[in-house]
Amino acid sequence: MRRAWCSMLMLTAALSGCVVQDTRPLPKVEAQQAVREIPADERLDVVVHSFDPGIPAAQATDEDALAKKRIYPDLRKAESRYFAVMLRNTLESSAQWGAVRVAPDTVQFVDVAVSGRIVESTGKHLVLEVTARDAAGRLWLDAKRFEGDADIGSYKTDAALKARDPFQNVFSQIANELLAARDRLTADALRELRHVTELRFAQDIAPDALSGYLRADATAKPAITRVARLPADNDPVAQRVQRIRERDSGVIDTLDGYYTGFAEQMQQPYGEFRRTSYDEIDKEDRARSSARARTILGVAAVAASIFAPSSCSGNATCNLESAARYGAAAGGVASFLSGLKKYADAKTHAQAFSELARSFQSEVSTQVIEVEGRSLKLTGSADEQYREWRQLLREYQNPDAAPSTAASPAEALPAEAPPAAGVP
Amino acid sequence: MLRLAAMLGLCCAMAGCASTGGSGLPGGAPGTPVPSTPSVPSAPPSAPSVPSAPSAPSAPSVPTASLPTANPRGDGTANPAEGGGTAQTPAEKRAQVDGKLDASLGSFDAQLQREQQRTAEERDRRAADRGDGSTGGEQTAQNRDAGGVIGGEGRDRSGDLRSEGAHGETGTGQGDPAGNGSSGAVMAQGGGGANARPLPSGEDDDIIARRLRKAAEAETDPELKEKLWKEYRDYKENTHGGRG
Repeated sequence: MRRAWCSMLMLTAALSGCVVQDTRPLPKVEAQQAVREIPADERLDVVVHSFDPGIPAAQATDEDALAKKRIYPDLRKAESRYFAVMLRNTLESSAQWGAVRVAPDTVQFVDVAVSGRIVESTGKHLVLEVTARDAAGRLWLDAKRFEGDADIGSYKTDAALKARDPFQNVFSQIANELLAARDRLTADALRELRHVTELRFAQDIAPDALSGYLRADATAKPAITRVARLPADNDPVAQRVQRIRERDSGVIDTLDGYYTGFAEQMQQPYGEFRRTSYDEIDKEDRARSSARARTILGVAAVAASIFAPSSCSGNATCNLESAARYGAAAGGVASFLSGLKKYADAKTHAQAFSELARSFQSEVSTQVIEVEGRSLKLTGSADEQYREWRQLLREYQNPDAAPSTAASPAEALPAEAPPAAGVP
Repeated sequence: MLRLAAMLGLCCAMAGCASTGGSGLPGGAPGTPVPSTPSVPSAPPSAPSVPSAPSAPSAPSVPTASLPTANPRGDGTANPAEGGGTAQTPAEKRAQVDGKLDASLGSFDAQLQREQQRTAEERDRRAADRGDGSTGGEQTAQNRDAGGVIGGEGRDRSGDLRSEGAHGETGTGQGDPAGNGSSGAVMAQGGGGANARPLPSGEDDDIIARRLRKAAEAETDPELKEKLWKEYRDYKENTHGGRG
């Protein structure tokens, strides 16, 4: 009998221990800062692509199923851009890189391209999978998983929320991993990588004139692209390609501006949403944990009151034992009922979170549409320009073969050159 | 009798001339493109202005639209003194393509600049709406350490706007057939109006120059931006003799 009571007490203590959670602010992880000036020809440019929202294809249209997993598609789409901007800011602040930009995944010609997938994102926990690849074809990170709990220090005040993202530790970890990958390359390899990016762009814009400057190195595992030779400094086509590349940088800068504006717009309401959602999720988790403990304890108490073997020897002890059994049963039932109430509370918090998330995603979805619309418009316009410039470079390289308008030098060119429509 | 025979012969000869003239020899109806033949001295074989002339292989693609609709000489031959429709050497064609490229790049620059301006204005407006009064340069030490804050008040633009040089380029780069005027270090150019001095490359910037450059790049007020660029140029000239 004594042993049974002891075990029940221990069980109670253990279960109540589950409910207590530590919510102290997390230790801060910072992105490693540059301690020396990195030579310009070794500073790699990075483009962070918008993350994959991580919406399971099988449930993409089943909102309720997604909501059970705390996935809200429009919210995820907004987060996919927001997290890219967060990572960009972290990389940029480390002073380890050249230009760091956020751009759609159509932007290809960059030293290092980083993409990611959102595995889990709530105000409480964040899990991201990140892939990074350089222009030569080296895989720096292969869907590597980074995760962390929210730093509640950031949720304490509005100023703290503005100063540091609750998941900054996750972004700092990613930045440090990218840095470690970069540091595995020699200075020569970094310099070559910059040339590879330039030449890949050049090949795309002027394939006739500038192909053959790159070669595939099959001896490397996996195979990578290397520089076979460099165009002469005074190569006229290469000079013109360089001018076009500056416009490409302009396009990327402008796209980056769109995403930055979007993230700025989103930062404050999203921070508040995450703080509130953290509270709701925390309350829900606590309520569930408490409910689980109480129902188990209640069931155990009732079971003990029924099945505990009798050990009374006299009338008085039997009465006492019987009272204890009744007491345990009554307590067990009360605990069980209290557990059920806690489950109801947990459900209420879950509903509150769901309402909050739906409300926020409807608020942010128009902004997502706007930023994507602007990006598409600009990239579409840029594509048209690139087509025209490719044609002009072809004409420049082969003036005899190219169709000409036979305009005399005296005839002024139109201010806006017409697109090379109709030119083969 | 002999006189009569001679007159008849002359008439026949004249009638023959008239009929051949109507069949397309020089002197035909004005406005009708007439192929020149090597036998016509006034139309040298190398004259490229006549598109269908088989003797002008160097300009096979001259469209008929560029032809004069009426030949003032009335003999169907090109006038060498005219500029329109003359042959183009490869260098001329390249210069022409360059002109087109410059115009296209300039037009695209303007489009990009408009977009960037619009984005900057939106950001400024948002910053003003928030009432924090910070439009770019200000950043608390805490924010800088965190590295995870967004926007004008928090973003360290160490990567800088690489495209800014491109916008300043069109005024200086046009009309250089070799394309030398705007290549190479243009990447490092930034800001500046039409009368701006070329910006030194930022490759050998020391800490002060880098800060000036960053501040200039981050500044959205054009007037203040120009002043910062001037400071930067002056500093570079004083310290490095303008090299870079």
